Amino acid sequence: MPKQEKKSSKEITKLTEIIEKLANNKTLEPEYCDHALSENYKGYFSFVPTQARGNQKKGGSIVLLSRFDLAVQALSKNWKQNIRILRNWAQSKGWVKKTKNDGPEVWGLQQNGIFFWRIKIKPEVSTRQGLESSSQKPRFDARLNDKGTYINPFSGQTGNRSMGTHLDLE
Amino acid sequence: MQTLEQVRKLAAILMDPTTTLTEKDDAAINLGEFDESEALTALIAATQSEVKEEMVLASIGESIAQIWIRLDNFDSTLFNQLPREAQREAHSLIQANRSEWLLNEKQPKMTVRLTHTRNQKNLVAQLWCENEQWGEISHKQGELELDIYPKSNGHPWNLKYEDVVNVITEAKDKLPERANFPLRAYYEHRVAAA
Repeated sequence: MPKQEKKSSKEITKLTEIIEKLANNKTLEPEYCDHALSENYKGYFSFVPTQARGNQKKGGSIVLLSRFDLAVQALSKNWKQNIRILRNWAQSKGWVKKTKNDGPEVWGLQQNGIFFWRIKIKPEVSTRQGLESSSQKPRFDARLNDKGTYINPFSGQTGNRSMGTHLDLE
Repeated sequence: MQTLEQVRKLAAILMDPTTTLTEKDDAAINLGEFDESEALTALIAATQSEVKEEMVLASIGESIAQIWIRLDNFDSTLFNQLPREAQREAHSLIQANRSEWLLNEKQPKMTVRLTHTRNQKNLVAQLWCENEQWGEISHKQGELELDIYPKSNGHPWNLKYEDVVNVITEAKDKLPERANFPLRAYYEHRVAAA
């Protein structure tokens, strides 16, 4: 394996290890300079990869990960594949991804400066007491309009809100 | 009793500033499934305090409308006080299921205002519904033209036919025939005519 390729493969392995740690709520080693972010970066995680530490003062190479990115990293291949299918389905409908959001990935219609959501992809699981058991799994909500018509894009079944929310991503 | 406990837990999630956006959204959706008055109270309280995120407000609005429709009990005062994002969602769901509730809403007042355009050359008649302009009538190349503006919340205008016809007629009557009629001269003309 050429030297450059070998180095790059090592860096990716390290990066994957860090992401897995963050996804599992583990603390990073001090050398990665993990720290809380605010304002525009609220809800994101940041760390400095080993090879970039020397460049940090020059303002480069800080890796930013959103809650969504972290949650997706922890998912199985099947789940990730289903997220890709949902994104493609949304694009086929002419829907756009909402630009700034530190929670679920939201797709929908943008009309006259107003955003009307159609799909919310929620890979983050929650064990908060009171929430339905479906919140303990990666899930999504999908609807065809804002008049109460929901859909499961995988089965094509349409129905009311209770049918089209908290759908299992698997 | 168990149900009430669950509603309280969901309400606490919605009001907790440390809750993630995903959890808040789930809680707002779940609350829409309950008939208990505490669920509605929690949703309304959330719109008036902690919740500011557009996505969660939309879910809250949909939940509120869902409960109103299921219980057949609409509250127009609360509806009018909802934040824009929540009201938009509630409006869409009500429009699709119980549009008569929106027709019974207090009819907004329509007015005509005569004003000069920015370049101060033409006199135009602006058509207002309460404090939002929905149209403008002006002379263009010897003919009367009506421009219709979109509603600021993105929904269609829902106005009484008679009111629209009356206000357009009033605007047409008030607007002088000449396209570049100076405002001062117009008023002098009106005074003289009176």
